[in-house]
Amino acid sequence: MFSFSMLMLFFLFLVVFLYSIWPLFKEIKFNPSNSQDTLDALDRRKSILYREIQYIDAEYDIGNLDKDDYNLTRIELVQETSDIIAKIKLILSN
Amino acid sequence: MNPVLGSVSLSLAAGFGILSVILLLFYTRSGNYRLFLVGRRMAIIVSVLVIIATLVLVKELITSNFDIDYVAHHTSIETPTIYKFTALWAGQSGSLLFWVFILSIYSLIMIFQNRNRYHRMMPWALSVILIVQLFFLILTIFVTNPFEPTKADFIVANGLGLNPLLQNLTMAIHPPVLYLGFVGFTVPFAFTFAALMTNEKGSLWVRSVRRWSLVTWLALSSGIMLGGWWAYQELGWGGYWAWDPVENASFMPWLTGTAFLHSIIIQEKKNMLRIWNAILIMLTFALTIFGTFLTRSGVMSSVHSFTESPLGPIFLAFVAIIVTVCAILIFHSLPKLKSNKHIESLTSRESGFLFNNVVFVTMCFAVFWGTIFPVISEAVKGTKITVGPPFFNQVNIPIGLLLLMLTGVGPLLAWRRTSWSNFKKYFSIPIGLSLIAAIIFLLSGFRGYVVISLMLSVFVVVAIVTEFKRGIQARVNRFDESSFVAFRLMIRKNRSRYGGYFVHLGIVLMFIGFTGQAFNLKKEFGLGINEREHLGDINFELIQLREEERPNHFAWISELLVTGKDGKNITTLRPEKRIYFHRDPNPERRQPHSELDIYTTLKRDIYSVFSSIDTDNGIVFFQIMINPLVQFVWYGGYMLVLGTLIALWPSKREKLLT
Repeated sequence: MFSFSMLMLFFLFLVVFLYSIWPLFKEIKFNPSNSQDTLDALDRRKSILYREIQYIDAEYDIGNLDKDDYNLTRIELVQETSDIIAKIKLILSN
Repeated sequence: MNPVLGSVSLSLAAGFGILSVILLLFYTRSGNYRLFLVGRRMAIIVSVLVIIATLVLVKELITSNFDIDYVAHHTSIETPTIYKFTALWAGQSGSLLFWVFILSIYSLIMIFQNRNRYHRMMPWALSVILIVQLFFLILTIFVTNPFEPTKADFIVANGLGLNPLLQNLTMAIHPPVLYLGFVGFTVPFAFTFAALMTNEKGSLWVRSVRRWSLVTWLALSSGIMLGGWWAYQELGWGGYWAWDPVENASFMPWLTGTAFLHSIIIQEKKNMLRIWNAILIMLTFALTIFGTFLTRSGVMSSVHSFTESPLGPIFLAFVAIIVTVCAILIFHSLPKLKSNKHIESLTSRESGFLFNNVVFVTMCFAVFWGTIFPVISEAVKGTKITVGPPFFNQVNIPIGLLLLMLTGVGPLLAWRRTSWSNFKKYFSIPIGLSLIAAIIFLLSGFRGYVVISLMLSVFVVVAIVTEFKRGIQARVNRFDESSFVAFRLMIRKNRSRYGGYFVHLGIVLMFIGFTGQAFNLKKEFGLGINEREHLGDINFELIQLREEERPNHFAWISELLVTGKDGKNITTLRPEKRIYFHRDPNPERRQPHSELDIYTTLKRDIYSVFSSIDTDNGIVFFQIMINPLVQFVWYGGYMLVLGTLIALWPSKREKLLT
C-alpha cells in the first residue's frame, strides 16, 4: 500500500514537473518588449495627471489653492499630460 | 502516509523554489521568455505544494493524529474542533508553515493579477518572494518541522492540549489577520526591489505597491486591534496595550507602513520622495522579519513569544542580509532616484506629509530602542534591564499627540504653499473651537495630557468636518447638486482622500479612548455569599457561586450583582475560574484560567476578574476595574476599517482596467 502511494506520488511529481517545463518545448509567440512596460507606465501617468487636473480644479473651488498657484500648477499638469500623450502616440506609431 | 505527503510537499516546494529563482534570474540576463514562463510555473507549483502541506497538517490536527509531535503538543482529544484548527498557528513550526502558507496565497494572487503586466519587474519581484518562501521552507524542513513524528516508543493516547489563553474566538481570528498584514508587506517590498533593479522609478512602481500596501496595512491594523481586544477580554489585567515586545514588533512596521501610505501620495502627485519611499517600504519589510525574530527567538519574555529556539540567530542573519542588500541597492540607485522637484514652502501640504513621516519614524525608533534595550543591556552590562510601559508612555505620548495635531493640520494646508490669508481663513475656526474646548476641560478639573489630547481631538474633528463642508459647498455651487448628492459624489470622486479622513476620525476616537485610561479605577477584594464591596460609586454583591464540569475544563461561576449609588441594578456579572485538564492525574498539568466578564457602555466598562477562591471558607477573590471610554478605542477601529475600505474601493476606471 505504502509503495503504491509512493509510486503515485512519484507519478504526480513527474506530471507536475513536465507541466512546469512544458513552455521550454512550446512555440512562444508572445515576447514582451520594454515598450509595453513603457506604454503601461505612460498610460498610468496619464490617468494620474487627468485625475490631478480634476483634483486641483476641486481644490481651487474649495479655496485650498491661491489663484497664482492654481494657474501655475494647472499649466504644469496640462503640459506634462500633452508631453505624455505625444510619447504614447510615438510608441504606438512605431 | 499523510505526514509523509506533508514533508515531501515541503521538500519539493523548496526544490522547485530554487529552480524557479535560478530560471528567473537567467531570464533577466538572457531575455529568453521561455525561461520566465517556466520559472513562473514553478513559482505557482511552490505555492500549491505549500498549500497542500498546510492542508495536510490541518487534517492531522483535526483528526488528532498524535503520531505527529506537533499535533500531540498542541491539541488533545478534548480540544474543540475550532481550536484544533487554530492550533495550526499555536506552536513554533505550525506558525512558520502558516507564514509561508499566507505568502504562497499572496504569491498566487500576485502572479495571477500581473500575468500580463510589469514584464520587467515581475521576474525580480517573483524571485524576491521565492527567496522569502525558501527561507521559511528551509526553516520548516530543517530546523522545526511540523511533520516530525512523536518522540515516544509507545502509542500516544492523548495530546497535551491547547494553551487555555488561546481558546478564545478572538484568538482564532487575531493571528491570521495579523499574519495577513505582516506577510503582506513582502509583496510591496518585492516590487520595490524589482523597481530598483530595473530602474523603474515612476508610475508603474507606485501602481504596483500602493493598493497592496493599503490592503496589507488594513490587515495589520485590524490584527493589532484584534490583539488588543483579545488582551482586554482574555488576559485579565484590564488593558489592551502593554508595550509588550511582541506587540511592539507589530506596531513598528505599522508605523513605517503608515508613514509610507502618506508619503506615497507625494510621489504619485508630485514625483518626489522616491528614495524615501523605497527606504520606508524596505524598512517596513525588514521590521516584519525582525518582529518574527522577536517572537521566535525567545530573547524577549512575552505572553506571545514561543520558547527559546535555535531560530533566533537564523532570523537575525536573514534580517542582516535584507538590510545590507537593501542599503547597497538604495545607495546604487541614489543618482537615478533623485527628483528634480523640491518642496517649495514649509507651510505646504507636502511639508505636512514629510513632517508627519519624520514623526512616525521617530516614534518607530523610540519603540525599537525600548524594545531591544533589554537585549543590548544584557550584551553590554551582563544584566537584562527591561524598560516597561512608563518609558514607552513617557516617550510616545507626546509624539502621539504631535501626530494627532498633524492629523488635523495636514488637510488644512494647501499644496505648494499656504498663504497667510488662507491660514487665517481655514485655521481660525478649528483653533478657536479647540481653545474653547480646552478652557471647558480645564474648568471641569482635567489637567495635563488629558486636556491636550481632548483639545487636539476637537481640533482634528472640526478640521475634518470643515473640510467635508467646504468640499460639499464647492460641489453645490459648481454643479447645483443637493448637499447629500454632493457629499456622495465628492467621496466617490476622491475615495482615497475622503476615506483617509474617515481613518483620521477613527484615530481621534481611539485617542479619546486612550485618554480615558487616565481615569481608570481598580480594586481587589474577597467576598463571601451576600457580602458587598464598592468601587467608586458602584457596589458589587456576590449573590451566587456554582460549579460546573464542561468537556475540557471545570469551572466555578460567580454571580456579582452590580448596583449604582442609588441602589438601582446595573447588571449581573459572571466571571469564572476555570481549571483546564482538570481530569489529568498529574496536578502540575492542570491549568487554572480566569474567564472574566465585562459590562460595557459608551461611558465606561465595568471589568470583573475572578482571581482565586478559598474553597474552605467560601470566599471568592475578585479584581474589579472601571475603565472609562474604552469603547471609543474599538469604535475608532471600526471607523479606521471603514475609511480604509472606502479608500480601497475601486473606481469605475480601475474596475475597467482590472
